[in-house]
Amino acid sequence: MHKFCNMMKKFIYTICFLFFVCISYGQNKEFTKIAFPDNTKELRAAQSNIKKGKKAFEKYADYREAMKYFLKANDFNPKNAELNYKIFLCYYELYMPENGFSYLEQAIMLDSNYHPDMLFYRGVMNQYYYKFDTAIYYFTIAKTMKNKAIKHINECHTGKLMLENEVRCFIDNVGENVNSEEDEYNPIITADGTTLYFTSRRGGKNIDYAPDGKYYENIYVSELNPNKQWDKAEFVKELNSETHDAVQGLSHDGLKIVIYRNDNNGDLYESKKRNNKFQNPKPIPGINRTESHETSAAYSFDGKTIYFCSDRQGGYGKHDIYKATLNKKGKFDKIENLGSVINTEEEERCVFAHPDGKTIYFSSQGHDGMGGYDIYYSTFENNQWSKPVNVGYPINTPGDDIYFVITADGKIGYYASNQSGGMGGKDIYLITLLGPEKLFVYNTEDNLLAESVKPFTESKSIKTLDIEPPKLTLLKGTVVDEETKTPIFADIDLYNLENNELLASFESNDITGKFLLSLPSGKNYSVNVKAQDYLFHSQNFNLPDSAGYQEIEQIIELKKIEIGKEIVLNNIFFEFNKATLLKESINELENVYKLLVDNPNISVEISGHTDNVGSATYNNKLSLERANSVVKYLIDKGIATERLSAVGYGFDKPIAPNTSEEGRQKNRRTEFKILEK
Amino acid sequence: MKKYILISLITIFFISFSNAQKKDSIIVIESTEHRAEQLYNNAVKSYEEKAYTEAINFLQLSIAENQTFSDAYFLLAVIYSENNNKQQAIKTLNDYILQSEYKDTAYYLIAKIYYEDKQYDSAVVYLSNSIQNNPKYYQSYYLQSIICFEKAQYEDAILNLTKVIEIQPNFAHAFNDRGSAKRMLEKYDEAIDDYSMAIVIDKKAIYYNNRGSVKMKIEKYKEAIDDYSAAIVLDSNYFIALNNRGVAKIEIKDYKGAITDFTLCLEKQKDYYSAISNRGIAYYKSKRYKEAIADFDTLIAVNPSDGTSYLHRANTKEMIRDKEGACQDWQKAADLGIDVAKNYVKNQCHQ
Repeated sequence: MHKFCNMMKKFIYTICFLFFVCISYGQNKEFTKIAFPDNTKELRAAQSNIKKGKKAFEKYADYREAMKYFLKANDFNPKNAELNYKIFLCYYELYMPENGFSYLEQAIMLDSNYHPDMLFYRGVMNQYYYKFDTAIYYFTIAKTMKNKAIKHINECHTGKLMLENEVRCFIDNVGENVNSEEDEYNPIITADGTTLYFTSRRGGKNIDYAPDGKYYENIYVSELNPNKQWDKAEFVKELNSETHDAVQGLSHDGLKIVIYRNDNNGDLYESKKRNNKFQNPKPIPGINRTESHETSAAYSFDGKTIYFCSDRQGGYGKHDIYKATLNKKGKFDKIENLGSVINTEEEERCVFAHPDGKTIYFSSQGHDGMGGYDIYYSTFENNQWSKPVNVGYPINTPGDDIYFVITADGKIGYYASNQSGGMGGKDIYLITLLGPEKLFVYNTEDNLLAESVKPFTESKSIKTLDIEPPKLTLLKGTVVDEETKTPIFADIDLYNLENNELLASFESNDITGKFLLSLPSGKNYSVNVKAQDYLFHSQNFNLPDSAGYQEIEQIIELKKIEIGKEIVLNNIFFEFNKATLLKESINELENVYKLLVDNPNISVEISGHTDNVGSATYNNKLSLERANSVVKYLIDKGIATERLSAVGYGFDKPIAPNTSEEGRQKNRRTEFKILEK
Repeated sequence: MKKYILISLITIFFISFSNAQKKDSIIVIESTEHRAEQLYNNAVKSYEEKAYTEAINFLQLSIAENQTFSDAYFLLAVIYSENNNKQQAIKTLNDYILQSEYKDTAYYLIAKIYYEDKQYDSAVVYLSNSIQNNPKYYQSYYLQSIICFEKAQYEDAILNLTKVIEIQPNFAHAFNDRGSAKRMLEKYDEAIDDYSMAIVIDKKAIYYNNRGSVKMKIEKYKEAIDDYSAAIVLDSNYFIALNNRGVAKIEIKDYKGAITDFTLCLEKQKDYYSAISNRGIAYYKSKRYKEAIADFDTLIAVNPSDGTSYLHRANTKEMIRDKEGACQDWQKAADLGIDVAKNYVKNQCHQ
């Protein structure tokens, strides 16, 4: 609403300004000798500027250049309707309509019949300033651009509704450590929201001007410090070239990045982090096409899918959103248009895939919005995309609202906007989403019975919109050596235990050992961490559909393959009170098998452990039988019997108190210990 | 209600009195009866002069002279009732019933005494007797409907009120009350019809207010506002209609109008805390957070154990980025039993 008020103030100031201008100025004045008999030299210069401006405008669509010349001419003669209208159009094309508004009004005041499109644009400007009813009036009476006017009228109606149903959020400029006097946009964050990559058109060492008069785009990074402030942004040298480099997408762990370069009509490049630095970006095979413009990219939670935008032929119109799936050779193919539910005849841009594994956010000019690009989300469930939902005002405005990203917990978003009060050009803004309206209870009272003074009071809650929070688990881990605590570069495999399918493979950061996994609810996951010369580490995350958002931070200490070292096999499961292995154990058993194959000299003890429910005799027997089941599986796979021994400890070696179900669950386990090497 | 009872008793008294006069004209009074009547006349005079003790003495003497003199019993019961001597009133009315052939009113009056004492079961017994004695005695059906309503037996209330309306088709209160019973059964369209009928018979603020509140239930907020407005025109001091209209205006997002109504309501009834709370909400909705907090502060100062006011103040503090203050208030609301505040503390404050 603050934004709305500022816009309204601007609008009123402009109207007042024009009122005074109207009083002080007269009618349209042409650039002729008759109009300027005493200023021949200045007139000639102004005419020359107009000519140059028109050439830049009409021939090259270089509106910045054209505006420069038009403004010079306007200094000499501000009372020419055509020139004022042209200046407005330049600002409009340069996405600075608020700067052009006074020129449009001046043009209409000087000669309201100069150009029939002026009424349409008056509607556009009123829409921009949230004056939806006035805008509808101008769109209705405009005699040109009828098709566009109908779309704008619909947007105004939607806008009115959106203003009434404001989204509860705070929108703050992220500050001078990120934003500059130039444009900043394309904010991209890691799933935990601690690293921010963005594109800036600021100047700097060896940064040249692009043909549009601004500096070339470059990529910067900033880290969130413990005070929840963004550190001074740094130029990401290894990703930037001499021309445009714009960040487009980031894997949720921050180890893979997609950037845009202006090659072949605009292509997407990918780079992976090694030694804490991104490698030389390479075009993403299978996605780029020479004849089309590819832009914006987002990795799915498992990294197996990339969503991207392209204006290639065969789409629904302009840029559409597509997805490409990683094949077994590690290349993206199987490119699919997301379909008519998502894509429209207008532009769809700036796709972002949420770590919940089912939601995408994108900007569109074609869906039911307030004007310009609006941000929408859609979820993929039951094998189809849901109807896109507008994320609402004040995130969406009548202007262009694009480059929206949101953290895994759904509480913090970022986007770029050129709203007033910024540091110059487009700035990156932090959106703190406050969630659904909090509960308010109001009281009414009636005298229901005519002859009874006893009042009847009722309390009623104000209706609130129920927003479902994201359902996922964010696992933030660091892999270290058990003894030295030094970070380890490890492979992390994510399995679905229902069918033992490998869902995704990741790596920890080779310098910090850190990794970040997004585990959407609704699956029974096994996370396997493996590194050269170390025993593997496995973990089980059984997340039902109902499991809400949670963040888990873990330090995973890998043990060297040495005599006496033991690990818990967290993903071995048995039938209740039996020694029969469940199918969910296959993946873990295969890990043990592979370890034994890779290390043919080791002999191991497989031990069974129970909780303290039941007698010692019963538990000793059960634990031994379970250990034997594991040993049998390995022997059946071909491991020599003499390398394996089975032991049942019953409840003699608890690793947690048996006083809670959680503790008892931990104690019911299978362990693996190296006896000989 | 007391006023009604008094008027009823006096009316009944005069009816009984005139009956007695009629009897005089056809019955030859023997000497004891004559003395009884003289004493009764003295009692009436004392009663009119509000000399109740004297009146009671005359009536007791009158009854001693003529133990079948029903009018004396009746007036005695009236005086006992007026002097809040309920047990004596009931006993005397029972004596009257033994002596008189016109029993419906007496049963009704006993029922009324029991009703006022919230002895609904006893009241219902006497109302049944009254109706049995005179099936057209609509007052008994009406009182029975009120008892049913208060016992939340809305279907039975409707049956009794329908009977009242059959006997007395222009009794607007009965339509109003039946509308209210239907409202409680969520038969909102039927309730509106009954309130409308009450309004046709007699334009009273209460009927409009009640119809407005049913329109709120079916989310016809603008029509509700029209009804509340009509109620306020009829009774400019009807502050609950002002409060209700304010709430309806919140629903249509006319927060400015809502604030005006709540403020006006508080001018009529300055300690009407519902209006203060509702105005706080309207201030919140119109982003006038400081004024909202001021209203919630007032409520908390008056009633520090009101968890809802803490909840509202916390919600408002959140919007002025006073997270610490919001969390303290949510915690307080949670401690005072507001369950939703526990969730807010968990989700917003422990991070």
